[in-house]
Amino acid sequence: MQELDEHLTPLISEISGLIAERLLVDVSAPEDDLLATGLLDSLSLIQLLASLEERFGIRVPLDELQIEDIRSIKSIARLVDRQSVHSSAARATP
Amino acid sequence: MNILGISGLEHAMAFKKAHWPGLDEREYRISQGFDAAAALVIDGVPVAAAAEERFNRQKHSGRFPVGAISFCLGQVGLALDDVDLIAHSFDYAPYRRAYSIHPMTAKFYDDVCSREALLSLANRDLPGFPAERIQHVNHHLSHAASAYYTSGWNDCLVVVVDAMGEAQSASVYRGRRGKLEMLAEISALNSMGILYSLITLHLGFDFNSDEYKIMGLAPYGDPGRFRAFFDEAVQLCQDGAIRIPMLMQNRTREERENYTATRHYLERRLIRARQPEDEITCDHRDVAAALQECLDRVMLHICGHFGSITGLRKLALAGGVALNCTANGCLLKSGLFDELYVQPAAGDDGSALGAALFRAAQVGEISNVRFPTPFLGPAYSEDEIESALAEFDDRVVVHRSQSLAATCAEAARLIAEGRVIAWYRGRMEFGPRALGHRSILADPGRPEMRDRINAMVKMREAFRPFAPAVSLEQVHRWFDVPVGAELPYMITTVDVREEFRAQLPAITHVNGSARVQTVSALDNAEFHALLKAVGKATGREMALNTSFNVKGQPIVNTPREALQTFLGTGIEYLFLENVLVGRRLNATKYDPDLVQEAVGVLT
Repeated sequence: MQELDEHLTPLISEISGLIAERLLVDVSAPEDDLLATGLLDSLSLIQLLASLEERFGIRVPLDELQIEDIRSIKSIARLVDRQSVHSSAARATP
Repeated sequence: MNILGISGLEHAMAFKKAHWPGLDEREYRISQGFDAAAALVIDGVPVAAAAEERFNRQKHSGRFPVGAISFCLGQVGLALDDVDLIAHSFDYAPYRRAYSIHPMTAKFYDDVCSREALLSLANRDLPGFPAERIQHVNHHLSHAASAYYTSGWNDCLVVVVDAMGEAQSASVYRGRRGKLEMLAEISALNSMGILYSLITLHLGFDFNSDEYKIMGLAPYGDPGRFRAFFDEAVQLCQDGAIRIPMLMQNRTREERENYTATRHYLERRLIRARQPEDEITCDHRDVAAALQECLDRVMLHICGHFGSITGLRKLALAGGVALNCTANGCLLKSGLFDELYVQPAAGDDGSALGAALFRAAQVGEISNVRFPTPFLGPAYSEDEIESALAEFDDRVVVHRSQSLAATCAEAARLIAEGRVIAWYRGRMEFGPRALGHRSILADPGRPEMRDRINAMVKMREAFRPFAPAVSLEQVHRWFDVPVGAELPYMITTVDVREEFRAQLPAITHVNGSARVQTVSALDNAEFHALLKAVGKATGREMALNTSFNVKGQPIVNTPREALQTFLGTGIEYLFLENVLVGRRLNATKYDPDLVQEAVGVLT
């Protein structure tokens, strides 16, 4: 899993930067639990999803969101990665 | 279709009290869902609307608006079953997942915001009404609809700014060919409305209630002293958005709920918090001035940006921040737009109207004509007035005029003599302003009048200015506006012409501005007739016009409340329709017990 996630490193860094910029939250490690620590609340989660959609050109409908997908920066990176693939596939479909 | 719009979140305050015990009473107003109201739209036309506070007499009440609903239906003789649809001006369902990330917010969602919570209230107060005929409309979309579908414009920019809706603090739409298209939104994390309210609280006033007092205090201060603080606090972004980092300092649940980190920051970096009983000093005036300047800057930025990129020159506004007359005046003067329309019930009471209008638009029923002066509340019959008078028979003397003309002539004579009169006629206004149907009136030319009415009549803060109502024909004579400029809702400041400022001391603010209301014969005929009569008596078709209530009390609704308030204050004469009411000589001038009763549960 560790190796599989290596390609996510730039994404993790970008998402950390986005969270710092938009939510003014500095997260010390990509595995930190954003929910248990209270770093994310409902309003900041809504803002985060909007920021992810804007930055990465993906769609993350709130009503389809799995809470585990936004528990840490790492899980958010996986979500963005998955959605980006879907978006690219959708764009490639004639 | 018969569509009933409603607003308010009844359980919001109770939830906060249950889960955050021990807060200062004023902190419990850091909440949502106040100003419950009902508005009935029939075949696309608003026919009745009122805030629940006018019936249950609790200012800014968020209770399920059963009193207002009952009035709306009674006004047109409908039964509840005749209502095709109820539209509530909040729609939290899309955000349910976001609230589910913590047990407390999940419970808040379930108890306060959810559809189930609304249905439970409807079941309690409107038993038997089918759940499938109760729908939700996004909060800012409701506000936007209230502005766009009453603007009379086909194509315009629509901007909504308030503390927050479900998750946003500002939303920008283009209204075109009967549809609203979302252009942008600003998160509640960067809420100018919340910042304004937090500083209102910091200055010793009430959050979500007293912001207009800070607006009134601002011109007494020097904005320069704290300008740098606010320039740093509220950053303007190139995309038309704003950022307010100090609102994001709140990290824990407690901090987020009550903005404690932000308030500590204000304590450290701005000035010490003022307690309500403390004297108002230049510190407070200067902070108010800088805050107001900041809001003006933000409104020009947001509206200006989207006006520029769309090329639209007509601007329609709603949302609680749109009640800020000074910011509206800045927009009007800015040249950014050719025309400005502020929906007069811009606060959450108006979102009830908007929710109904939005649903009406979806079924193609909207005609979109400009909102007349919003006399959409209850009127009371001659019998009801006589019955109320009989109740106070031992304390009042009455004189019944035979005509409106005679009543106006008598009222004008009293105003010209320097008397303070209450003027009660016809249907009550919808929205926070008294526009000539539930008003206290006086001569604006008397220098002592402001202090006298603040102290003896309204029993409120001495610094608060009063507004002028002036005939449409004369507005340009006294105020710096073009001939025939219509400002019928008392929601925008304009400048008093320099040469008349000294002659109009009771309505000219310290910065030379006034919250003018223009009155036309077309849609406010009786009040217009009065101003014409005043013109004959004083040479000015103008009266100081303030709402018929005392501090902390909702504006009077019934004739009985009018009499109670009249007898409990220093108002000298009361006109109930064509009945002139005075005090009996043996009646005490002020009756504290009646004031207590009038103010009701708040005291």
